[in-house]
Amino acid sequence: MNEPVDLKKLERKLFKTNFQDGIYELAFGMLFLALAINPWMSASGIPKTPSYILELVLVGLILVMGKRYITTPRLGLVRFNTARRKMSWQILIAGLILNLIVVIILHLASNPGTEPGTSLMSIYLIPIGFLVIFSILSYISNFPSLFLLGILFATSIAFSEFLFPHIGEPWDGLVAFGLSALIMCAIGIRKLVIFMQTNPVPEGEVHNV
Amino acid sequence: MSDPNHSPFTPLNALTDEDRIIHAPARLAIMSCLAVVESADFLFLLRQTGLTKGNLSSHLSKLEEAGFVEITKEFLKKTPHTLLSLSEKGQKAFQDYQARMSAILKGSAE
Repeated sequence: MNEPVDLKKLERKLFKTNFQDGIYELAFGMLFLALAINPWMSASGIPKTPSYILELVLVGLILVMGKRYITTPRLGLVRFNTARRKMSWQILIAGLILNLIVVIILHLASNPGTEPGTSLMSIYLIPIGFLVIFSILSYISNFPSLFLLGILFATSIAFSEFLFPHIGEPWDGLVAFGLSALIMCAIGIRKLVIFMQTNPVPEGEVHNV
Repeated sequence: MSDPNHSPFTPLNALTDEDRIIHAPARLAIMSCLAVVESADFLFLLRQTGLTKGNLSSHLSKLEEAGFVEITKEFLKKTPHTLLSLSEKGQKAFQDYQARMSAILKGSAE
């Protein structure tokens, strides 16, 4: 490389700063927690689908508030170029579609006659499908935690199906998704603490040039 | 006595005054950051370049004087906020600088 500055590499590096705060990992952890406690809420009479949607809204709030009140005051504001913004929107839409799939699966699972059970599809095909989708998203967005999210999501579904005949609902989901929530939240908190230590809120005014 | 026309540093003469403004490490870092984003605020540049507030401020002023950087002041929820971006002139100057430096580096590698 003879160019004095590798701009593509620099752009990727700057974009990566978006993910160093651990907020996304915390939000993913909360998403796993939502999936873990969902069967409990269902058992206590709260329908699965609306409660999952409400939990999704809460996860979205964590993301927005975290970025606004923790990340931006420490890291500043940046507006990436159009191509990157377009890609971010595509990833967001893909994430929403994935969540829609989860809502449909939850809705189907909560209907009588379609109780979760050990089947080839739920143990292998759904987890592998999610893993492939998350791996692609991780590669496109340059965000390795999405790959980890895919692995945890896939293993949680398979583990939950494996546990179901042994401990039944709602314990299967609680153990499987709860463990993933714990791992993701621990990673998120660690990253957040490091981020806050290395990027303290600057003292005095920093807006003047 | 060496011949100045065959000095390995002769290609550096091709650098223009505009290139020399960009060539300073701090200003090159600022220009590079702004070249890959649409706009960024002062704090973002402060974090990414690792410069001090005073240093960043003075280099930005030089780049603004040269017409390479556009500084927009706005209010975000009653708080003054400075957004920085490369001007068209700045973008062209940076592209030209990259091209000239690439040619120089390529020449020195041969």
